[in-house]
Formats: sequence, structure tokens, C-alpha cells
Amino acid sequence: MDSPADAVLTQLRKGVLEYCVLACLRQRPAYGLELATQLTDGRLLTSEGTLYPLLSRLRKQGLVESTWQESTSGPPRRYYQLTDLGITALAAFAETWRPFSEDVSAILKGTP
Amino acid sequence: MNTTPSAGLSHPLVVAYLDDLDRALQSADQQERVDTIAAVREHLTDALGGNAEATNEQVRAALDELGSVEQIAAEATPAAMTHTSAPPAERIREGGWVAPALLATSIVSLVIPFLGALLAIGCIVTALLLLRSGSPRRPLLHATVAVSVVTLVFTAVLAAGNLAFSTFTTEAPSVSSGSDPLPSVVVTIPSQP
Repeated sequence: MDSPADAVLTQLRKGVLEYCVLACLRQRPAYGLELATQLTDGRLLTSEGTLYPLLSRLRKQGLVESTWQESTSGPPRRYYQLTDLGITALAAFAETWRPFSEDVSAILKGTP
Repeated sequence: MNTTPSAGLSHPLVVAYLDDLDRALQSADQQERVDTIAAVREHLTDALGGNAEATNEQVRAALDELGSVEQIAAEATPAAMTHTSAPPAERIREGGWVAPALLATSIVSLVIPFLGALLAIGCIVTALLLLRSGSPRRPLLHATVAVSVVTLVFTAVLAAGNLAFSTFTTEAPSVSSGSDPLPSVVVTIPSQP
């Protein structure tokens, strides 16, 4: 059922997705649906639900923490935000990712 | 099953979906299972706007966006993996700074005469203990033992050299005793007429 492109995307997501979640939280805390919508707008998440096991792992690793906040439109919402450890991990990823992706692009140059 | 805050969750399709999700996550890490189900419930509460009268279409659309329970379960860490993968990772982290520190100490011991030998012996003992406990930093620990052995050899050579030198210097005076320590200076003052 999976096309070769889907298989590649699955592999690529594995190393990158958790840092994309951290990057989404860089500016301000966000709640689940908000994060899920943001990440499925592109090709980063296969489906919105796959975000949640990932968020659980990020919390367990101490990169993200959650707090309940009152909502104007309904029941209180769980907001996720970066911890200091999460900020450091995101910075390390960004610093590594840029030269890494440049190397990949350079080596793929001319590939049809 | 739920009251006002998450009334949309009582829709039969949602109830069935959450049950399926719980089953799909049975073999997942337990914390991830609990967190994921709670987060998906919150997600649906937000997506359906706490609307008790959500239509089948609205509910289906929200569940489609969430994706299949199998997709979600595939993203979760299997329960068994968290047990097998954690200890080696921890061991590498724990042994992470000890092995390089030992190697650095053994190198320092090279340039400290005599006291370095004590350091080297300490390094050898610690490195051997770590090697026996199955530390993953084997090359560094082997290097530590090698450098420390070199320190001990150097110290032994230095000690032997010192001994030879001190024997030589204690015998030395008898060799030089015959020679005149300082040549005498004779100053001749011409007599005035």
C-alpha cells in the first residue's frame, strides 16, 4: 500500500519530527489540536493522532511540559511548552540540521 | 459516560474509536498509552467544540483527521523496547566521562615524575575494574592501561638512572681530590725607585 515515497517519508520523519514539534513550541505554548493542525498542514505528520505518542515521549524525556489553562470557548485545555532542556535540544538540532541538509542537497544535485 | 465538558465524546463513533485505540495501544509503553488516550480525548473535545449534538459527519471528519488507531499505535514505543533499550543507553552515558577522564589522568601521570607512578597505578586499577564490569568504552580504557604502563616504565628507568647517578656522585670526590681547586694568583707589585 505504501509507495516508495511514503516509505522514505516514514524513515525521514523518525529522526526529525520530534524536533519539529519542539520548533512549533518555540514561540509560545500550544494545545494538542493546535499543534496537530499546524503539523498536518505540511507533510510532517501522517495523521493528527500520531502527534500524541510523540508528545508523551517528549514529556518523558523532559523536553516538553504541560499545564492546564482556562479556555474561553470550552473546558480547560492542556498546553504544551518547551522546558530549558527542550530549548537546548532544539538549538542543537537546528545547528546540526542546516549543514546536514545542505550536504544532502549538494550530493543530490543533478539527481533526476 | 462523559458530562458537559466533553459531551462530544459520548457519540457512539467516538466511544468505539477510543476503545479501538486503547486496544491498539495494549502492547505500547504504558505511560505513552495513558497519555495518548487522554490527549486524543482532549483533541476530540476541542475538535467537536464540546458539541453534544455533533452530527455523524462532523464526528467522522474529526476521526478521519486523527487517522486510524493503527497509525497512532505504530508511532508509540513498544512496551518491551523501553526495557531493553534503556539500560545500554544509560550505561554509555554513565561511562561517558569516566573513560576519557582516566585516559587524561594517565597522560598527566606521564609528565609528573614519581608521583605520576601512583596516579598510573590508580588509573590501571580503575580501568581494569571498568573493563571487567563490561564498560562500552573499551578502546579508551585499553589506551589508559597502555599509557599508565609507559608511565611506570619511565618511572622505573628514571629511578634506576637516579640511583646510578647518586652512586657516581658519592664516588666523585675521590676522583677530583688531587686537582688544585683554584689556581693561585700571584700579583707582583713593581718596587718604586
